[in-house]
Amino acid sequence: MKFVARRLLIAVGQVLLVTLLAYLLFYVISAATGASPAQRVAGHAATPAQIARVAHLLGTDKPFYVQYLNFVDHIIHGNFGYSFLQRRPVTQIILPAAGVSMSLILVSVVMWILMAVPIGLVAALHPRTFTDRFLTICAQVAIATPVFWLAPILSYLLAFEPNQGRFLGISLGTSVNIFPIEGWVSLTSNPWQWLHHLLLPGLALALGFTGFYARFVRALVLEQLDEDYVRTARSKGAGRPRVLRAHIGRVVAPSIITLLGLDVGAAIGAVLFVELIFGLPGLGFVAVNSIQNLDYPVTVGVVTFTGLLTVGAMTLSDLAVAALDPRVRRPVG
Amino acid sequence: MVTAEKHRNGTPALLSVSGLVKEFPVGRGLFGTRGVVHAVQGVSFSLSSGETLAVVGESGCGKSTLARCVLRLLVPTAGTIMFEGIDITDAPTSQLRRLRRDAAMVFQDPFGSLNPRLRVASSVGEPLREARIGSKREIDTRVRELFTQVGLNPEHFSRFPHEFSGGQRQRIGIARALALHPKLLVCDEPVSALDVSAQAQILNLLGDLRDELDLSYLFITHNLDIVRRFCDRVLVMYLGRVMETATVTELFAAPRHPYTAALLAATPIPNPRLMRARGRTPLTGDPPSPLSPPTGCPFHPRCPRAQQRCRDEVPPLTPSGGSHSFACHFPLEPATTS
Amino acid sequence: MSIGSGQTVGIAGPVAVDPTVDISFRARFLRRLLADRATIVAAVYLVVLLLLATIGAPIAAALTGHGPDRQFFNGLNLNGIPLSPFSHEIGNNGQPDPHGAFFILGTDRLGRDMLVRLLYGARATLAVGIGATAVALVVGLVLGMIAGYFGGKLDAVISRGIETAMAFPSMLFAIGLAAVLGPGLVNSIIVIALFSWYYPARIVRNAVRSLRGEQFVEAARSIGLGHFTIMRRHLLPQLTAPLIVYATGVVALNILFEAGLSYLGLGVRPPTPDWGQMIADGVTSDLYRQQIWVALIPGLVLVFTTLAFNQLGDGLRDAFAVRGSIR
Repeated sequence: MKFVARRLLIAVGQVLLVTLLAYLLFYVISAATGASPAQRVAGHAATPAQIARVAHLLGTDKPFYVQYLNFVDHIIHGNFGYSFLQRRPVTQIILPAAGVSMSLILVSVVMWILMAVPIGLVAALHPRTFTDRFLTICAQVAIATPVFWLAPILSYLLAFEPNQGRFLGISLGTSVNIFPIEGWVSLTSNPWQWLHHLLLPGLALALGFTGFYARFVRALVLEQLDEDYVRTARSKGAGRPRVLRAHIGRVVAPSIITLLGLDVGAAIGAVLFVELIFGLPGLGFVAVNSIQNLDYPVTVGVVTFTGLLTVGAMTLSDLAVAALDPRVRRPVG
Repeated sequence: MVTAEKHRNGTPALLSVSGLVKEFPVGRGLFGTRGVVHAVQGVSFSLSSGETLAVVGESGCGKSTLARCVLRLLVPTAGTIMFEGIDITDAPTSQLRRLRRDAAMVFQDPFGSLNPRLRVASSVGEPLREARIGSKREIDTRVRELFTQVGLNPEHFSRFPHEFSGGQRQRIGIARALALHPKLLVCDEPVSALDVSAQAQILNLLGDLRDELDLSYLFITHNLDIVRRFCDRVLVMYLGRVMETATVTELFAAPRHPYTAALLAATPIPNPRLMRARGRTPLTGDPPSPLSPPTGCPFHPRCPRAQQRCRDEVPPLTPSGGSHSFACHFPLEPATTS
Repeated sequence: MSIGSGQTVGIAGPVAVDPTVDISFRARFLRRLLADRATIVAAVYLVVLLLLATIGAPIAAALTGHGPDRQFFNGLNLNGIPLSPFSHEIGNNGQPDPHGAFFILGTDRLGRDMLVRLLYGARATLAVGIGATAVALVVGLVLGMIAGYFGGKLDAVISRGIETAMAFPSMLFAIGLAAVLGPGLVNSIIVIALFSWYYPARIVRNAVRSLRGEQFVEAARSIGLGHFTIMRRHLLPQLTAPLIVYATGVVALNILFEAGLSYLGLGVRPPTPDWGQMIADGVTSDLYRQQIWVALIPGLVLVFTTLAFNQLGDGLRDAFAVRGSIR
């Protein structure tokens, strides 16, 4: 229990830090670099007096810490700010976008776990064979491939070309539509189409992580296979599948969960590119647009929201691991 | 071989420790630490020039901590340490120069106490370089000298530690300790990590050096056999306190503290008559953790002679004729051996 | 873009107790390294790349007569689509002109020579990738060393800081920061370093913490060596092996990071060529659908380079016999 309380306390601290930095980033730095929100709202032709009045209305003329406290207060009440450009609350912009991103990440995570674990296992169980080497090279290539390049290439090969009746330049005769090229369908309107539209983007996102996790699983399983407790189990007559499931699984599963928690932050970064390329109106899409349009309240809102999500994911995974692995819970010393 | 009496009278103590206490905060509660390890709880003794004092006890009794406090690798929580008449208990590092020169430590682990990346000459010469004594050439000469002194071939001085055996590495460690002509060597289980033949060699070396260089030793060990063969006086520790202190002869012939008797009983010596005279008081169980030492006498949970008073009162260190003292409410009778 | 969370990396400690064989660490290391073919290939590739980026680019530009920014009007076909590799520029008759300019790797969206741009682009990518890693390494080394050596409150604070920093959605923040600071080489380096210093910091901290307990450190203290002397003389040399290995991995990550930023227009300022930007050129407005090479070529080079750095890191790690994995 002490552990849980401690972990939550740390999470709260992290959240505060995230919000502080997000706030610092956009309001303070942008003010310092001469692109203050007040100026933007007031417009190009505004006089200093008008700008000052707008600043007063917006509340941006108050001292920094007051602004920040208001900001935090609003966040606690679920209010992420107001976008002047789009004339609606940021929360309204963020929530549906969050749904899109979450769907994508969910589909992707499922894909990459389903792919990485078997690949890692196979490689570990047949070490140094051709299969192992081949899979390892594939994994390495997957890790080295940037998402923002892989996504268009995949989209081209698996969606666009077949759609035009070609594949790798060879004519197929007819138009084949395995994957839609882009677009988003919400879960509530059409679940099947929702999934269908997420398959290709999910795959693009998943491949890089698959490579990483496959290597990780391979290394971990190899390490465990060498451990004495496995040899003991085998010598007692346990068959390999049972050993794998009961013993090694118990070690691998928590590690994967920990990794997942940490990778949420990285996933969000990659998600951004996939959303842009496949035209999915998720958080990344919204964030990049807001930066390009100088719509800073939205940017801050997205960054804060994502930061909160990441902290939440990390905390959850830590707690989950603690639940699974009793060693973690014991206090040090 | 044992020269207990030689430096007893009149010589001011080289090292004088009084009421030493060392506690370590431990644990990670939500708001700070939650537990204290009472490593050393009120230890006093003195060491004369030329004397070899053994500090014995089981693991966790605080002897290593004591050694480190004496060399100021740790700062005592309470108590005083006087070295060569100077109070070094709280002295700032800048004033410890004399201590660093006149006292040195020989470590237990011949593998770990030398930086594996440095050539052994660098390791041995480091105290000289740090004290800024001598040019590079002078340091080199001195290092070769030290090598010869500890029985190593000076031609090997540009090799790496991993190229030497355990015993040789320990010699290197000793050479390093001798670099600045110290008066006191604190040896923390210097032979425990060595095989038996290497042990004998190193002990011989230490003995020879003692005579040649007129060294004093604070000798930490758990091996009573070595104590008997090598040391002048003994300090028996348990859970951070001194249980008994005496000359080697006195201790082995007639221990007064039940713990000492039990330790001796566990160490076979090739003298059946003495062994029978000692009687059998086997030690049962493991020592309790220094995190929560028992009340009163720390040994009472395992002591066959323990009574209520032992639970309530910490027995003080009582002298009993000459150099023999013990801390027990119900000590063993001075045995009469034939 | 997968970011690793450093696990503890073991240090190459005293390897074998072999009093007779006098082979130094260096000889053993080289022997292992030279036996690893994949790593040799990676190393050679990187050296060649470095040479090409520094000297090769201007040479290529001189030889072909095409500068990296020179737009060939005839470098696009009649539909405005860039040319594929091994093409000549389009003559006035609408057909490739065998006496005209020759593009070994084709042209890009604005009719610029792909090969020359690629070589010049290597400069930006490598400069930012390696530069940011260097900064991150220094910062991470200092902080990790302090945390691992002094322990206690200092360590607690720094470790919490590392964990919290890792919790940030780095890409998003980096984009925000880059957007506010503006594009540019130095800005990119700063932003990327800001989001990668914690990897080396964590590694160094764990390594120093375990080294701290070793007896030779205690022995050094007993001689009277000061803290910083010990850090410099006794601890730092033990860290170089894992740091080098880790550095290559971080460079690979940062190259991808930089490409990502450039892809969004937040990296080096155009028209300075940069691989990320070249990919972006190919992808936006779906140009790659009509001419796949525009996006394919810079992407392949990027993948290969990242792969090479990763392989180099793996090979070095095996050669140093460093225990544990960099994850």
